[in-house]
Amino acid sequence: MKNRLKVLRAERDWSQADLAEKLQVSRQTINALETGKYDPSLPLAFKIARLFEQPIEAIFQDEA
Amino acid sequence: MDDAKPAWPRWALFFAGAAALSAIPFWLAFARPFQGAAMLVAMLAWALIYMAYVYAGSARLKAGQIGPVMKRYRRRLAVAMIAYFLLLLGSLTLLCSGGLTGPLLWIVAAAPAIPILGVLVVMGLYLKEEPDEFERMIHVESMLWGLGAVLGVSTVWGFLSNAGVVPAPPLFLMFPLFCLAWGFSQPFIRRRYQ
Repeated sequence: MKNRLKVLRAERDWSQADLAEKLQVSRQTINALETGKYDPSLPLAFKIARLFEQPIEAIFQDEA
Repeated sequence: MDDAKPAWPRWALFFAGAAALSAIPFWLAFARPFQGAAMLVAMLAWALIYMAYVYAGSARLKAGQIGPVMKRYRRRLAVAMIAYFLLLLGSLTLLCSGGLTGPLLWIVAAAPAIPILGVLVVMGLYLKEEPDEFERMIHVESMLWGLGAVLGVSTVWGFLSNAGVVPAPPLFLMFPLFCLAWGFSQPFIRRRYQ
C-alpha cells in the first residue's frame, strides 16, 4: 500500500528514529512502513493519523 | 537522511559464528571424543561459551535498539537457560551414577526439559508483550521457519532411520534446531521489508 509517511516526516524534519520514538515502534518498522512493504494494523494506522493530524486515507492510498 | 545502513552483513557474520558453535554439540554427540564426566564438562563449557557469545553478540549488534520488552525477554531467557544447565548437569550426574529406578528415574530424566518448556512460555510472553506489531510479525514469521526446519529435518531423518540408514534422531536437539532456524531466518525476513 502506498503512503505519504516519508513526505509527512520530511515536512516536519523528523528522522526515522524520531518518528519511531513518537509511535513507540522500532526504526525498522518505520522503514518497512515507508517503503510500503508492510501495511500497519488499524490501531497503528490511527496512531499515525493522530500524530500527523490527518485522516487515514490522506496518508495511506489503497491501490485497488 | 535515513540512517539505514544495512546491518545484515554483520548479522550474517554473527549467525555464521553461532552456527559454527552450534555444530560442536552434534560433533560431541556423534564423534564422542570424550567419555563420562569429561563429556559433561565439555558440553557445559560449550553451553556457557555459546550463551555468552549469543548474549553479548546480539547486545552489541542491537545496541540502542533493544526495547524494554526485549530486555525482559532476554533476562527471562537467561534465567531459564541457567536453570536448564544446572538441572542438566544434576540430572546427567545422577543418571550416570546409576541406581535410579521407578518414578524417581522419570523425574530426574525429565528435569532438564522443565526449563526448556519454560523457554517456550518466555517466548510466548514476549510475543504477547511486544508492543511493536512489525517486530512481533517478524518473530512469528521466523518462528514458523524454525517450526518448518524442525518438521522438515525430523520427517526426513525419521524416514531415514526407519530404513536403518541413520541412527534414531536425537529429539532433544530439535529445540536447538528450532532456535537456530528462528535466528537464522530473521535477517532474511527483515530484508524483505527493507
